[in-house]
Amino acid sequence: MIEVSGLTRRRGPNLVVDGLSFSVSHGEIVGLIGVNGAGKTSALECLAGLARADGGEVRIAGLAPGSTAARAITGTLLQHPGLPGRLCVAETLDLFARLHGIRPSPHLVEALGLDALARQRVDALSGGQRQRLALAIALQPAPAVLLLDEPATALDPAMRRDLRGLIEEARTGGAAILMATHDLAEATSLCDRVLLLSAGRLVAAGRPADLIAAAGAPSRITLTTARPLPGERDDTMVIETRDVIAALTALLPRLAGVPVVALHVTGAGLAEVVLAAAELDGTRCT
Amino acid sequence: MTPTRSSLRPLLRANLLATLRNPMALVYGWLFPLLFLVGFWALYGDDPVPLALHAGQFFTITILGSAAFGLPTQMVGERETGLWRHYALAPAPRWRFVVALVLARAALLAGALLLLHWTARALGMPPLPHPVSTTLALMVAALCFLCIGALIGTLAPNVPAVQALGQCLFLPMLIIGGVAVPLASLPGWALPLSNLLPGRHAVVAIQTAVTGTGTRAAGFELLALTGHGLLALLAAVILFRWEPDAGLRPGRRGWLIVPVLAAWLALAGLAAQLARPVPAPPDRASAGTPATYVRPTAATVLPQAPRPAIIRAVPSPATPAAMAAGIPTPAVPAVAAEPAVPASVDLDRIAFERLPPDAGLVAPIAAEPPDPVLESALARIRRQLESWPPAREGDARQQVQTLLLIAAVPDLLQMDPLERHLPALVEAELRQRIPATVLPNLLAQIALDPQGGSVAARSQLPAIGLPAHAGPEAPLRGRVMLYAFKLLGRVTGRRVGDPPAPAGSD
Repeated sequence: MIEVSGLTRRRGPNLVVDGLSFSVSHGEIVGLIGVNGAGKTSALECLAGLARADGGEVRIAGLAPGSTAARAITGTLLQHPGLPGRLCVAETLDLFARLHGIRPSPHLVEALGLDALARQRVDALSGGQRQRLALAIALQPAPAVLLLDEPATALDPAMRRDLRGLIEEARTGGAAILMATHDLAEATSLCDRVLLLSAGRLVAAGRPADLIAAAGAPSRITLTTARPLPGERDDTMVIETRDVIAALTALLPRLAGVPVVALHVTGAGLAEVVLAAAELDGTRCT
Repeated sequence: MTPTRSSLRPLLRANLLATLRNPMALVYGWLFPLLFLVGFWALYGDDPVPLALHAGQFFTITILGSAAFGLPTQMVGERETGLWRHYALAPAPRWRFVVALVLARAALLAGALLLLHWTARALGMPPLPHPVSTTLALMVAALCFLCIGALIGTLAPNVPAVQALGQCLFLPMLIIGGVAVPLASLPGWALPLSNLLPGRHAVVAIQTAVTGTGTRAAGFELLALTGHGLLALLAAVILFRWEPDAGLRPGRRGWLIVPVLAAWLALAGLAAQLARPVPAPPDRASAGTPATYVRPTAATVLPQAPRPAIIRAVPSPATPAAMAAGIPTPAVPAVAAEPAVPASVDLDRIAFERLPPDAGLVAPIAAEPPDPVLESALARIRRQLESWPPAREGDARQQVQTLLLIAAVPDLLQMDPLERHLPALVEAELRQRIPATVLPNLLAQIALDPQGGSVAARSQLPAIGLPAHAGPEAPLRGRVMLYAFKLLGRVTGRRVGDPPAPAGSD
C-alpha cells in the first residue's frame, strides 16, 4: 500500500532523510521511531505530499503522494495540526468531512469524547482536546492509508487507551498505518514492525521483540529489602543482567532471614534500542 | 457528490463564519469605513450635495483597507498557524482554499460597501443614478485590490510584515494617489505618480458611476483596474506558498515575474498617457442673487408674448430684483382661471456680461460638440426625457424650471464633461416644448425669482440617468437661476457663448 524507495529529502544543506526504503501493507501498523531530528516527520511529510522529495520514489496505493487521488485515500495527523480557531468542533469536523465528500462519523465523535465539545470553539480547546479533534479529522474518512505523527501527544491515559482501540480498529479494517512516535511502549505493543531512523537513515527494521533481542540490551532487577543485605550499604539493589533467572538464583541465598519489600524486573525495550542507535550515530537523545 | 465539486461551498461557509466571528475583522472592515464616512461628511459639510462628490474616495478607502490589510492578515495568520497545511491534506483542489478565503473577504467587503451606502444615504447623499454601473465599478475595484491583497499575503512572511507592506501600498495611494487627498489638490509632481497607482483609477471609476454618466465613461479606468488586478493575481500565483517557513522561492515559473513587472510598468506608462485631465476642485461658488445680474438702466423691451393656453398663473409678490429691472411680477402655479402673464422683459437691464463664463467652472456650457461617448449618453437622456413625468407637471414656468434642473444638478455635482453639454440639450428641449414667444419671459421669471416654483423633481432625476440632488435647495436654485439667465441670453441672441477676451489678456 505504501511503497518508499530511496527517499531523500534536504533541508538547506542538510540531508534530513537519506535513502529511506520500506513498505507498509494492508492491515499493518508500522512504527517510525528514533530520536528528535532522526527524520521521522520529514519522511511523513513526503508521504503526505506536503513536502517534495529530493530523491527516490514514494507511492501511495500506486499513486503519487499529494495527488488528489492519493489525498482522498489518506488520513494524516500532523505533529502540530492547524485548526480553524473560530469554528466550533462540530463545524470543523463537518468542514473536513465535506472536503472528503462525506459526513462526520458519530461513532468517532463519541469514541474520541468530542460529542460533549461539539459546540465549543476550537480556540478554546485544551491541547489534548485539539489532538482528539485532529485525530477525528484524520480518521473520519476511514482512510486506506493512515499517517500519524505523534498521535498520543497530550492525551491522557484513558484517551491513549481509546486511541489504541481506534488504531487497531483501522488495522482490522485493512488500513496501512505508518505511525511516528516517541511512545516506545505503545510502539512495542501496537506496531507489527518498527523502523528505527537515525540521522535520516534507516538503521534497523523488524518486529519490536526482534529488535530488542538483537540489540542485546540488559534487563534490570530492582530489589528492596527491609534492611541492607550483608555486604550492601543500601536496602535497594539494582542489578543489570542479560540472564534474569541466573541473577535471581544467585541472589536467593543472600536473602536468608531478610524480608523482601519489593521486587521489580524490567525487560530491555525499544528505548534501549533507540539509545544505542543514537549513541552509535553520536546524536543527542531527548 | 465528489470532494472536488462540493469543496468550495463548505470552505466558503467556514471562512464566512470565521470572518464574522472575528471582532477585529468587523471593526476594521465595517466600523472604520463608517468612521471615515462620517469624517468625510464632517469635512465636506459645505458641499452643494452631501457626500456624493466624495463617493469615489470613501468607497475606495473602504476597499483598500479591507484588501490591503484584512485579506493578507487572514492569509498569513492561517498560514502561520498551519491551517493551510491541514487543508492541503484534503482531496480538494488546493486553489479552492484561497479562492474561498478571497470570496469570504469579498462578501465582508460587499457588506461594508452596502452599509456605507445606506449610511451615506441617511446622511443626505442622493440615490445612485446608475446602480448597475456603480456595482460594476465597485466590483472591479474590489477584485483588483483583493488580488493585490493576495499578493501582499504571499509576500509577507508574518502578520507584522503585512502591516508594513500594506502601509507601503495604502499610504501612497491615500496621499498621492487621489484617494484621500483629491487629485485637484495634488502638486504637479505628484500627478504623474498617481497614474502608477490603481487607487486613482478606482476613485475615478466609482465617482463617474455615482455622479457621472456611468461606467461607460470610465472604460479606461476599469480596464486599468482589471490590468492591475490580473497582474497582481499572476504574481501572487507565481510566488504562492503553503508553508510559513517556505521563504520566497518562485520555483520553476519564477522567471514569469519579470514579464509581470514589465507589464505593470507598461500599464502604468499607458495610464500616464491616457489618463483623463485632473478634475476641477470642488465647485462651491455662490451663484449670487438676481440683483447681481441686473443693471439699473433700461433700454430694450421684449414684445409682449401672446398668452399660451398652458399657462395658469397668478401674480406672486414681486422681488426687489424684479422691481428694479422693471419686470412684471412673476407668476407662480395656481388655480386662477385668468393668468397674469408678464407683459415684457427689459433685456438691456440684464447684465449678461456679468454671468460666469461658459468655459468656467460655474454653470458651464460647451462650445464644442460632444464626442461619440457623450453623444450616446445625451441621446439616452433625451429619450428618457420624453417620458419623464416631472417635465410635464405644473404650469409652463414650472416645466421650464424642472428642465433647468437637468443642467443645474450635474453642474453642482461637477459631472464633467457631461455637465457642459446638458445646457444645450435643455435649450433644445425648451425650444421644442415652449413657444418661442413665451420662453424668454418664462426664463426671465425664473432667473429673477429663483426662490419661486418647486425643485422637487431633483429627486426624480435618476429616472433619466442623472444623479439626484439632496440637501439644501439654495445652491441648486442659484444654479437654476444662472442657467435661466444664460439660456435667456441664448434664446434672445443677447449672449451666445463667451464674449471674446479683451486684447492682451491671457
